Amino acid sequence: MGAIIRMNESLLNESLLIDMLKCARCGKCRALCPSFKENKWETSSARGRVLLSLGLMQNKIPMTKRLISDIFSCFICKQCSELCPSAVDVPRIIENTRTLIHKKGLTPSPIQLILDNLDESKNIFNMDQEDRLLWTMNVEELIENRICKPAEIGFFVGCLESFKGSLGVIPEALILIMDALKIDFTILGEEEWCCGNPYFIAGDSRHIANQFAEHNIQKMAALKVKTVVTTCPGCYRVWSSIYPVIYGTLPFQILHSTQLLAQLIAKGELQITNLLPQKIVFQDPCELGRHCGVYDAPRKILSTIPNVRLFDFENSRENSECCGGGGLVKAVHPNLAKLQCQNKIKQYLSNKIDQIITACPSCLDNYLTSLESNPETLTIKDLHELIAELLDLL
Amino acid sequence: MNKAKLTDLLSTIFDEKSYSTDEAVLFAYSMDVSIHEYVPDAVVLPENRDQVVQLVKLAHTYNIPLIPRGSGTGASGGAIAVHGGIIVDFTKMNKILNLDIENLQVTVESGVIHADLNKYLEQFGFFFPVIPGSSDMCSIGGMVGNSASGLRAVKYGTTKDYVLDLEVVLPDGKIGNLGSSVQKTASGYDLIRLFVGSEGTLGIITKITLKILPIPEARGVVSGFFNDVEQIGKAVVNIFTAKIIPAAIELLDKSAIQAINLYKPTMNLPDAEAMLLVELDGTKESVISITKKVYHILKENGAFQTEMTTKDEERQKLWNARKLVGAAARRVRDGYARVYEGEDITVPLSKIAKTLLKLRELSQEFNLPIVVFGHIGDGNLHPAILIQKNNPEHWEKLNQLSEKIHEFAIEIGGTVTGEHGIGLTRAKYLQKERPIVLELMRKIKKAIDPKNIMNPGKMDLDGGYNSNE
Repeated sequence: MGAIIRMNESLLNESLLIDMLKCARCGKCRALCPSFKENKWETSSARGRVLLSLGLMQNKIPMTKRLISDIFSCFICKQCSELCPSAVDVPRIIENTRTLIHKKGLTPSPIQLILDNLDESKNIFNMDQEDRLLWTMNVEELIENRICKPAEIGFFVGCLESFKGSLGVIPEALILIMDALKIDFTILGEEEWCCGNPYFIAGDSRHIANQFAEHNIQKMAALKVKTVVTTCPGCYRVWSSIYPVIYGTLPFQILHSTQLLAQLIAKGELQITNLLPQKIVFQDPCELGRHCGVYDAPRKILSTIPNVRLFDFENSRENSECCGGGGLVKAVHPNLAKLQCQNKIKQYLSNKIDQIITACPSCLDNYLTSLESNPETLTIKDLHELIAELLDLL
Repeated sequence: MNKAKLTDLLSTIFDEKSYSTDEAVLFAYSMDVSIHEYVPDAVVLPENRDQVVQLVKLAHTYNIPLIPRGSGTGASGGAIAVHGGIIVDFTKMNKILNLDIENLQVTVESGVIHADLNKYLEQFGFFFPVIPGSSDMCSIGGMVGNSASGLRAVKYGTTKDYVLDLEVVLPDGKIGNLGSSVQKTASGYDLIRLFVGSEGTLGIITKITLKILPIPEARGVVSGFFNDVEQIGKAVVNIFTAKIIPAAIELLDKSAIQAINLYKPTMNLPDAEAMLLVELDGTKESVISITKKVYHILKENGAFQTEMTTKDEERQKLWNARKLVGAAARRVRDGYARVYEGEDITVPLSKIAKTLLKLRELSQEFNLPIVVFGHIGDGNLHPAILIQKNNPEHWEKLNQLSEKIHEFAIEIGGTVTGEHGIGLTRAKYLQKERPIVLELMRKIKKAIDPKNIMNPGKMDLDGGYNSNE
């Protein structure tokens, strides 16, 4: 995805066209596409969206409202590309088509609002940057002397966890764990800007995201951090895959927090002794799993919990279905996002799962909304919160 | 008919989420797997038979072509609107209506996906044994329309051997049940066999009753790698002369092996001129015994590496890779894409080696890669031609190459299609391959569909309407 940023337009168009023409139209992606399963129209399948993109690029079709709606019903979950026999990079094609839509000023208004918020306030909610620390109210003492101070680890919190109250427990839990393990960390606080992920997913090609990248990278570099850690898979994907394309080699390594915790477990520095006598399942976040290839770290952490039964479905890891929270779909098609999540919940209920664990604020948010109307027997929890609880920190 | 009028008419049958005349949507329905592209006037997604009946009556009144479509995975252009008209997409009619185990049959709507049906049947210990490579995507309606078969035709036959009954909406809107719910009938003409493979040219199939079979107790697979394609033909003949009927015998040539290795690197198949994949099924004891026999037959006939397994997981891995080799073929040459032309010839078993050598010769002559694989047990080969789609010279070469492949198949006593159907892609060969059959087909088509509203422009049937017979 990030690789498209530096290509000139004609090279980009040629390479995208070749990619679209690779498609043998076998329909394997149609069988997997979560939005097609709900909508049933060819245009809401990965194969159909590639055809729409091809039609636009070849000037065979106009940019109709329906086309825009279908292009924005893609979760960008990458399940199609993962199993595509012809190796078509569907997310790259979709993001480029979203760029064409954006250039014409036809981006759906709920998404355009997010982009406007970013332009104006450097966060997706259009809140004051001063409010970026609202989530810290329970751990204020632990971080007050750490904000923007040189440290080994720079924790990049991200917009969702910073501003959305129900998700604040995620960074809070990681702070408690890092403090308990005496890890030298810092956060940027009010100096943190959105990672820029919505610009990329929405296809905004104005290169404003580059300013966000440079700002965040320079702030972390100034603190001489050796590692940037993030709990949000979207931020992780941007920091690890897109920033290096914009900026070049970064002066620090990038880890998702599950990778950090798995390393600490491997070194014997993090030990979990409290029991969890439950059957749990890990919801692989698309941006952490298929987009970045991180599958083992969260499982290593969860499998060290005494008495836990970690259940892996046939459709987990590379084959995991999106929870419905990806691709900015929720902003344009909230019902589709909810239906997809409810389908997953049904699978879990039929397999008698006690608790869903995830390591992504978007997954957590979507499950929390979708579980409201479901039996209390099934719950969703963030992995960091679970570990903090088992360590008696929460 | 103008768009506004058509929209008005469709809105009397369908809710707004079930039809479209949007230009972008129509473009997405202008193609299937074949190379053809024709834009329809509208697309509808019926949810029940009554909507189909109303639609057919409307089309009959206003002379609008109707083109039934399952999942758009057909390779012959059968689901394309050559003369415009309405694409009838059966994706929403995907219910399994009745399972009657006592009478060994299941009834489904046309849009049910093949793999979903077998997943459902598996829990009762049964299966619909015709397994196309596109099992995960293709619909039962599409399989019936195209007389599809696939990997296990050697032992189990093709779709037409399993259809007991069809509910069909005829071109004037009448509903007809063409078969019977009993296992056999001699009551009148066999219209089931007429409609299976009719590619939507005679009526629209809304309900299908299929014969089902119990899942075999055990399965085994033997793979053999050869450095001489002549030896493969002999090995296959020797399996049959040993009185063994495998469930499937599949062939992959050198480039198909390469495609699988590129698609699924963990398979790590050895470099060879060709590979045979033989599946055996039956009772546990018999499978163990015949698997060993086949293993030795492949060895004795020159396989330099032979492996066998009865483990489900290993067997499944091989089949999953084999099923998608067609679409994965393009991986053997960067910048090239697979096109479906000349891809479904069937030749006499005794001519398989000759055909393989001919395909290699043609690949060199035209300087275009051809990845060859197929159901060697019934002589059905799938040569996958690769071209650069944005290179006009390649399209020109493709036309000539596919023509040569089809003509070769006819010359040596074969057919231009074993299971993908005639559609648009192979329409021009029917006259040459089966002239009398085409003449009769045209008469039948005209008798059943005098207005030619059912999938016109396919199978070279339009010629029947131009004559004064």
